[in-house]
Amino acid sequence: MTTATLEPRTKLPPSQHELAEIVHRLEAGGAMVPDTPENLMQIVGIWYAYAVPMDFYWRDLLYIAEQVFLNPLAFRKFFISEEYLNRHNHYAGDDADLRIWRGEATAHPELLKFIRQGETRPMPRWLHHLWHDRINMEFAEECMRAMLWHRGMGGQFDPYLDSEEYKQNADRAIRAYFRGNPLMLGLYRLFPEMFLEQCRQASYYANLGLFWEVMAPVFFEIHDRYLEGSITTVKDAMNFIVKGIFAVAGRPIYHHVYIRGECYEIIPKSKGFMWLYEAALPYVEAVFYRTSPFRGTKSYNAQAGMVPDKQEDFHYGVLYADKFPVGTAGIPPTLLAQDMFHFLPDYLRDYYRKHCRGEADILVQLAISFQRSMYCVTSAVFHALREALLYPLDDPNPRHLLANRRFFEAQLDRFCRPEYGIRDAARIRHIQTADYR
Amino acid sequence: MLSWFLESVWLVPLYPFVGMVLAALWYPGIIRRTGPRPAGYINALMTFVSLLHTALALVATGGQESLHYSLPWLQVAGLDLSLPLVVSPVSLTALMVIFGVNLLAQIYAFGYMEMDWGWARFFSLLAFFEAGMSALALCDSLFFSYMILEVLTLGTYLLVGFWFNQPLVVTGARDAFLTKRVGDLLLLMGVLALWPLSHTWNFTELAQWAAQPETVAYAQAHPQVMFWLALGLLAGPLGKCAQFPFHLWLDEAMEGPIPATILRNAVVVLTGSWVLVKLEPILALSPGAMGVTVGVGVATAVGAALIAIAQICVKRTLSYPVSAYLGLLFVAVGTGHPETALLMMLTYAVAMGLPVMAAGNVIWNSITQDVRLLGGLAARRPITLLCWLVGVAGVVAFPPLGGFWSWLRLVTDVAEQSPGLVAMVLLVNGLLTFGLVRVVCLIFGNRPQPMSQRSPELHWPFILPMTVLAGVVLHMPHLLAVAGILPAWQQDWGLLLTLSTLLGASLAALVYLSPGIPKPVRLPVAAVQDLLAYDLYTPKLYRMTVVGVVDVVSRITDVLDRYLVDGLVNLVGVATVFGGETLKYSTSGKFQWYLFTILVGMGLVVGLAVLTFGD
Amino acid sequence: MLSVLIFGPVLAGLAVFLLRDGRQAKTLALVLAALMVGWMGVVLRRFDVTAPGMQLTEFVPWLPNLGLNYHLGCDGLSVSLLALNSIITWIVVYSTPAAVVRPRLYYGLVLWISGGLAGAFAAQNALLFVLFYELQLIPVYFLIAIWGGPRKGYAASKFLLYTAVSGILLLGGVLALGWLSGRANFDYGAMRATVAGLPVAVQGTLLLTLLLAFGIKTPLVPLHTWLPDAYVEASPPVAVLLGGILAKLGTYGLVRFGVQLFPELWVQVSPVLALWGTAGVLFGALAAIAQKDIKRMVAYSSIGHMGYVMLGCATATPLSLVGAIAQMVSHGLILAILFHLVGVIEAKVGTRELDVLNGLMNPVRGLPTVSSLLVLGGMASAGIPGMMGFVAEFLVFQGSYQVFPLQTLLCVLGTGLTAVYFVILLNRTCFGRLDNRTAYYPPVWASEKIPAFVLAGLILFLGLQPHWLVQWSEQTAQNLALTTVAVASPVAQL
Repeated sequence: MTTATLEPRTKLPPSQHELAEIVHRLEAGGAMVPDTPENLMQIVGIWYAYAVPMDFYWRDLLYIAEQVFLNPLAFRKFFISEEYLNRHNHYAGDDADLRIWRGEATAHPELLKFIRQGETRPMPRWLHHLWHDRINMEFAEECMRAMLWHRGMGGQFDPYLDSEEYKQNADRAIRAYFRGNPLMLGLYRLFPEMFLEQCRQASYYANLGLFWEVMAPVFFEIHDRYLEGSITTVKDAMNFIVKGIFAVAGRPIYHHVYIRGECYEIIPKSKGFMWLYEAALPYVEAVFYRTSPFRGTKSYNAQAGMVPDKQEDFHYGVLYADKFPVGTAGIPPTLLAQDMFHFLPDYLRDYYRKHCRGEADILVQLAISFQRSMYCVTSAVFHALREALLYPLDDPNPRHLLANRRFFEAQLDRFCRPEYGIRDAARIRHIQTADYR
Repeated sequence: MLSWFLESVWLVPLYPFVGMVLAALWYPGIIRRTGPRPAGYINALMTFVSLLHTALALVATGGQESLHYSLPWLQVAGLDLSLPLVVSPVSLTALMVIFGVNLLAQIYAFGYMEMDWGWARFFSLLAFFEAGMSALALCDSLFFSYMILEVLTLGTYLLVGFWFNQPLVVTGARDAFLTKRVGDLLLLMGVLALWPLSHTWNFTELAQWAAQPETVAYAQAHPQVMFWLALGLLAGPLGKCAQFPFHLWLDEAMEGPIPATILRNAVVVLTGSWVLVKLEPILALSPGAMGVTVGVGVATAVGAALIAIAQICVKRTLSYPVSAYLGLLFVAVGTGHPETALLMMLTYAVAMGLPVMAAGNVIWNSITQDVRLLGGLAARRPITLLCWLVGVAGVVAFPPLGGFWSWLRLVTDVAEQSPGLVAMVLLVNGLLTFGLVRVVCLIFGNRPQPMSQRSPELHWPFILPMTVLAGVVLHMPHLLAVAGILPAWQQDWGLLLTLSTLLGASLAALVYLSPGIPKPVRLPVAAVQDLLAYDLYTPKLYRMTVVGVVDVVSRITDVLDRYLVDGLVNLVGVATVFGGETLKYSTSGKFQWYLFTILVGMGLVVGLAVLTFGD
Repeated sequence: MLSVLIFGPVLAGLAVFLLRDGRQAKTLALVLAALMVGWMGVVLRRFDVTAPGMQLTEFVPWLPNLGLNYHLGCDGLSVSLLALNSIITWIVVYSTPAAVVRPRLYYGLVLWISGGLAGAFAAQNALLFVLFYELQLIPVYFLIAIWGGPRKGYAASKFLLYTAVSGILLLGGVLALGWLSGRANFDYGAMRATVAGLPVAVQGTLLLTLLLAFGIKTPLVPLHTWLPDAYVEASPPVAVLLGGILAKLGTYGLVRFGVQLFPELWVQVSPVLALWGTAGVLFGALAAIAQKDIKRMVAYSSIGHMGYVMLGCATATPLSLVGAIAQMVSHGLILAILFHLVGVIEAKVGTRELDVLNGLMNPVRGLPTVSSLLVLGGMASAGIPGMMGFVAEFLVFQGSYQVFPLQTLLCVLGTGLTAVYFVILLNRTCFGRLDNRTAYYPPVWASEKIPAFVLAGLILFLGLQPHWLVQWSEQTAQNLALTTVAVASPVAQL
């Protein structure tokens, strides 16, 4: 199956890169994941299981960014309001700006069902919350924090947070938010920077929320098409994402806050921050590649030097993560895995039942499928960047093809660096075979 | 009604125990379709109940006599092991501290561990410690104290080993366990050796026994015996309190999660000194042992305070001061002032958790623990900064906070012994202040660095417990006054202490805030800096001494076993008809031979019988 | 009463052996073993802990002119070991996979051994004891030789030879005693009377003979070399049988034939014996530290733990004897749980190598329950309070310190070394990370966990309620005690 995509359609000599096979596959328009039906089934299925909680993530992130905002005692920030559950996704439903998914614009029915009865049975929401029978927003927040904390990932959005203009917008919003609360206003007068920093974090809540608002319908649509049979290869799935990326690249990234029904534009749409450059790319960099070491597997002891001194050397994202400890202490992605666990499509659940320990270690199996699928998404990003910045794959000019190859090889080099054991951490070699599960 | 709470206070250790058992429900495999967080909520609730119960009991003790219970455990062959419990204002205060800090640490954990799936194991272990420590506070028997310390050693192993996927955690847990175990076993030796002399392990009775003139006479007659005995008893506290040379484990234990660190640095290490205080009457029987106690205390206090200054890892900068401060406790006990030690423990336990919490806030979302990569957080994280400062002020001698008064009392007491000790205490106070303030300056002062450029203040599970604890620290003097244990003001010592504190603080500020001095600060003599930074190379020291010896000897034993003992046997085997190695080829022959022997044996029986009684 | 414990298993074994369908063998054996446990409960109920001397005695003249009488009875020592025997037997039967080859023979042998052991522990006649003692060996030999590991032949024969020698020595000693007495009466009481009248030199020779006999069985260093091979090569359940209960024949003999028959001499040589025990403790612990195979490590740990029993016996104060007997039982249970868990790990992971094993604590892909129980077992063996191992060891120490302070303190050091190798074992096997390429282990079934849970329950219960462990043997220990140090009870509690 993989050989099909490996045919040297390029006029170039074979690549000398240590991951040459993958370079060729990319040049053939394929993904880093081998194009097998088994992989496709895992990838599409896990995307669906991912999209359902993601439908909650983006709604709640926006809810926090726009409604909860700077509440110091946000005990109920995960108790998202009906309004935000029914909020119309801009890329699904009849009134969509651009209809990517043919389903409804409000929260996904499976999600609503889960919120209603969870894994146990219908209970008041606070009981579900206390029983930990809920979507784990904590990990979504962690992704947001990764985007906030990591520096130098390009884009205009991040620098803007330090601009005078932003500070003034934030100032108005903060004063309005704490109106009639002398204590907080007093604190604000004392420590303005503290509140500003909180506000910046809220802006990133909005940023990530707006990013995921797009991704959820994309994954839903791919899943539907897979079931219909119009998506039959990993390549198709990947290309659909590439198309999606270009379709919504210009979607504005903004941060509005609603205080007593009045809207404060902390980052107005008019700033023209683009989805692709201000949300998608930083997200991929921060979450797929960098994030931060799991306390369960890496020592933060400064003298041990396990944690890199430079943020760009961080390599703890999904592409590098060891998935076997998922479900153990100190492994944050477990939260995401657990969220996806609730929404696995039946065919995928049956597939897992047939392997390893079946029901008993689904958590790890799905986490590994997720890792494969994210390599597929990353491949989509590679192709999107190539199309945006470089040349088509079937370009007659060999120099252009060489430029493409340089680009792909440069990307793959990130999985081959020796420092901090990055090379061994990268799971790209594992996912080439099906028996890594 | 209230009196019931007082009489039933022995129930208190059972509440966390129940929580511990319940938490096991979420150990993966039993409840797995939903998350493990309820385990945490249940345990926090249990802690709260215990706290409430203790508080009411404390109210009920209107300065009345302390109650004594005795629960029978084991009576065998003339040995009567009953668990004596003492409920006194002191033990109740200890309980208050234990449960109070635990509750705050657990709420803090709700935030710090919010992305951790190991809640069941984590909280049941916290509860395990809680139960153990509260039992220790009530227990009035050396033997049972030893048992509890042993069990807590196991607890340390499991709690430090919580993140067992992480390589340094694995070694850290191992070393923590073994170091403490060595201390415990020496303590056990002391316990065994004490019995023939005292015929009791009950602390109250031991105190009486030690006071008897004949005991004193015996001690004077046999200084050697008393010395080694006391040394054995001393070893347990040495291990628990991370004193030289048993201090390394605390450093390695810093690999564990911050909420556990809060507990460990604030209260768990005090279990050792608690026992030490109770042992004071016996130690006092041997001047030599008292000397050792002071000596170790001084060495640790000065040494650890210096090491702390050279650390670059936030958690280490906060772990070595623990050893240093506890060193002073040893000095207090060694100079015969157990009450002072108790007062120091109280003020310390309340304050020390605070800097750790604050540090946890920073490293939770600024990721790095390397103080050289942080900086400039003051403006954006003022709450953390203030709480950190309050904590520091509460630990060192900073008037009018609680710590100051215990330091003052310490100085006043040791002043009776020798001016040298006074100088030492002032020095240590200065060094501790320098070290602690240094960290604050490095993290909150100077310019932000990449890793500290985006660092918002955290959400309520972090901030609430921290601020509450800060409030308690600030009210410590008042609480002391209410309890009537606020030491009297001593003009000159008070001023000297304050001076040393201010000196240390201002020096640190000067060195680490002034742009003139390049960061990271290097000492002129790099060797010295490394020596301190790498903890006097203690790991190497261990490897060269104890560890090395055990390793070599065990290898030798193995070789002996393989080639000498076994080899000899096989040799004999080969020599004789039934070969050793050759056996595996044909076993049938030997089998017949064996049957033959049996038959011969039986034949002998018959023969004998016929010969002797055959008529 | 006691006969049931002997002939019950024997007949049960026969029944299993004659079973037509091998697949039912386990079920039947399990039921019958459970019945024996039940009956043991009845025996314990009937047993009067306050009564001195032998109880529930049975006497049937057999070959009177050989002095071989069927004379049973039990005191605290016997009853403790009888109880241990029936529990371990049940565990062994339960923990053997039903798919074992030649199941009828296997389960039959196990039950016969159990019956034979019961006989040995209950026998009140030296010849009878010898008979039962010898009868063990053939079945055990087969258990190792047929169901053992790769070097089973070597291990089995080595075991056989050693125990054969032990058997001959024992037989020789006993016969010599009988012969010296000039009367054909091998009942313990009578023999005691004989011994008392013998010159010291003769006593010494006899005692030495018996010490060697039981020293091999226990085993005591340096007579132990059959043990590591036998334990390691035997399949886990058989190892449990060997270490858990069979080895106790030796320690039982030390008390019954040593302390009880040669009190005067025993007191004289006790310092040497105490040193011998101490040497065993240190040797076992140190040798264990150097092992790379977890099963071997556990095997050596058992050598060390026998040393505590030896120390307790040597001191022979009431307390130390209670401790020694308690140590026999606790060692039996703890070794059983350890061998069982090691067996499960080997079955799932496919190796026992310390350097290969890693990260089994992992709750999803690892063996979390097994690891947790392994921690418990290891810590119990290392003498952490709250578990029965501590109670036994502490009683031995407390009982011995005043007589042999140095040896006792060295043994305390030994517990420290025990902790060392168990921490090594736990760190390597339970902690750490699973290898992404190899760690696809099959799950552990409940049936594989249950024996461990039962044992863990006992270990914890008897650790927290030691009264249930020591009450049986207290009275006996009082009678057997040779040195009575003033273990005065503490001043009345306030």
